[in-house]
Amino acid sequence: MSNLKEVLSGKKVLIPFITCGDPDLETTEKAVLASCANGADAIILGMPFSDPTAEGPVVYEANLRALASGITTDKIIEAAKRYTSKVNVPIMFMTYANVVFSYGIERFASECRDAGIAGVTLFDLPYEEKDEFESICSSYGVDLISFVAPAPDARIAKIAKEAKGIMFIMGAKTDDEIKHIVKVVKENSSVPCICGFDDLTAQDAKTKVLCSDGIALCTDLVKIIERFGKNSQVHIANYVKTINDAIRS
Amino acid sequence: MTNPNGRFGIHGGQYVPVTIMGAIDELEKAYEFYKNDKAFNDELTTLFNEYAGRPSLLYYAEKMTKDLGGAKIYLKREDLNHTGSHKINNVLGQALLAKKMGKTKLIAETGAGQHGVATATAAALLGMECVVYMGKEDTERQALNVYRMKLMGAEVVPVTAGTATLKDAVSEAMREWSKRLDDTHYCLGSVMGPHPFPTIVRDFQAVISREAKAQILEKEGRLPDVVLACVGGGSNAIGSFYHFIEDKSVRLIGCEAAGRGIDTFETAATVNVGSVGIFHGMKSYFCQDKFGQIAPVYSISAGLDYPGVGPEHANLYDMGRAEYVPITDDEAVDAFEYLSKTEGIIPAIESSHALAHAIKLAPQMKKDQIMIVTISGRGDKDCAMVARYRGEDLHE
Repeated sequence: MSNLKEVLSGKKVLIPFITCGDPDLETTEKAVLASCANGADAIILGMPFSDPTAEGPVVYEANLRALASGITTDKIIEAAKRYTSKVNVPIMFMTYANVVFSYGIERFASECRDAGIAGVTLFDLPYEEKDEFESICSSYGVDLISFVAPAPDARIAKIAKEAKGIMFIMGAKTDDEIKHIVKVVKENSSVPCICGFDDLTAQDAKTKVLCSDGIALCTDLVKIIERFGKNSQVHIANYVKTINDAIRS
Repeated sequence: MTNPNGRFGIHGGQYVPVTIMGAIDELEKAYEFYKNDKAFNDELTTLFNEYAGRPSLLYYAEKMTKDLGGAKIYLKREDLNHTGSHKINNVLGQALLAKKMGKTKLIAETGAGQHGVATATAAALLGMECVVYMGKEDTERQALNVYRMKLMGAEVVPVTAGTATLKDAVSEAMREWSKRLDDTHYCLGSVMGPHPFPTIVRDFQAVISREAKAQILEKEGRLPDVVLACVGGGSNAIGSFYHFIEDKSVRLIGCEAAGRGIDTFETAATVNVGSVGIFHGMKSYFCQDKFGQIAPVYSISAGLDYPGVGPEHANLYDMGRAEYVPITDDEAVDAFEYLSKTEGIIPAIESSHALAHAIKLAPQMKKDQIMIVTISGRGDKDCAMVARYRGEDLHE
């Protein structure tokens, strides 16, 4: 069984996003290790998709770099096995429905379990379409993690009631919007609620972390890797440490 | 034909980021109301008839019929619509709906530029802002259409991401929509994307077969034996098929863009070479690799250069109700020239894919059989490109 909820509850958490295989799997491994050594409570590995419609140009380019290097679902799962054996925080996959669907949902869930992956999040799988994926993932002990966006309270509640592991907030424009979503989620679920940010400074992190149960770094590590490529490790270590210190001060 | 949650068999659905579910719900509720609203439908019919030039002709192509020596061939002349293609049918419907919903801005994707031009037209007419996303490669292939859109006050944004073609324009338009849902309607151009788009677009395009059925019954006193239309996303085809779906004696044939051939990687014949996947909000057939990465597709026709197909077509194929045949660039260009010379009608290169199959099929049919081919658009936009394909150094 996934222990995402238990491991990430009761504290402010920091979860960096890293595009897997950008520019190669060795760099991804170093980024994972550097993040964990400097305070990351969990890691989201982005599985590249040719057409990442929910994300901006930074992640799009990272996906194209990874795919151009010959990355495949098989290679990522193999690498994830290595990463999970080296770190003691949960690792999740974040990708698009077609990557999982085309691989075979059952085969994907089973491989995730064997690789020690705690959860999977699919950008283009809203509440309305999740059934086809969720029961299979659950049966392999992998949490299918939900997104929630600003919406009428009844809808947020409906999503929260069936949330597994943790919950990611996307599309909220103000701190008040984030706080309101968190409030409604908490009334209906006990999963930690994490909000993602771009271009986060230490100062931002101090205030943003108060809005929810923690912070996901959506594009900051991707940008460091875009700039420093295979030599990103020290820059990632420094950045994650800065944010980690800020949210715990 | 639509099940709850917008399913067509196993296809369709609403595979979109949670950030745009609210807008999709709002659109669905508005459409459910207005589709049965008499005032809305009267207004749309007036726009169709007084502005777009409907009903379009069902033209008996006598010379073509005699030349091919088989079935009697009728052409459904969507090329005669205002803006030169069937795209105006859907756009007037969606723009009017958006206006009723209180939206002030239309955004759209476009491939060949026909849908972009139609959207810019409707926006100008109804006093709305308009931004069109177009793959950079397509802005170069269809420079004149870019100018047309700008002339009517639209902003054209070249999309450089990915393959810089139609699929990337769709992705960009969806991404932009999620950022400004409050005042903006995404005027999707084909029977694709998340529910309710495939149903909305089909209903507005169904005017093609509604008219064609009445026209053929009036002219011939009976139903056609075959209806042919080209398929990219599939909007003119579903419009051409819709009112014949229950008439089991009518063969429905969608003509896909095979590009350089379905045995090559340079093809866009989705139903013929694709597999079931989830992309752009829908489950359907897609050109993709075994890891679900969407394949770069190719066709001489920018309007058919798309790696997916609408979910209702995917279901019609699964049920065996419609057939989907691949047509190569060469065959389409031959048909483009054939209709121009034979009937004095220059068809769009997209529509030429349907004509190419008609040219193959008609001689195998009996003289008392009837075929309807939808000419989805006019071919003026394609002349320079076809000239270059034939080796002439002609540029717009």
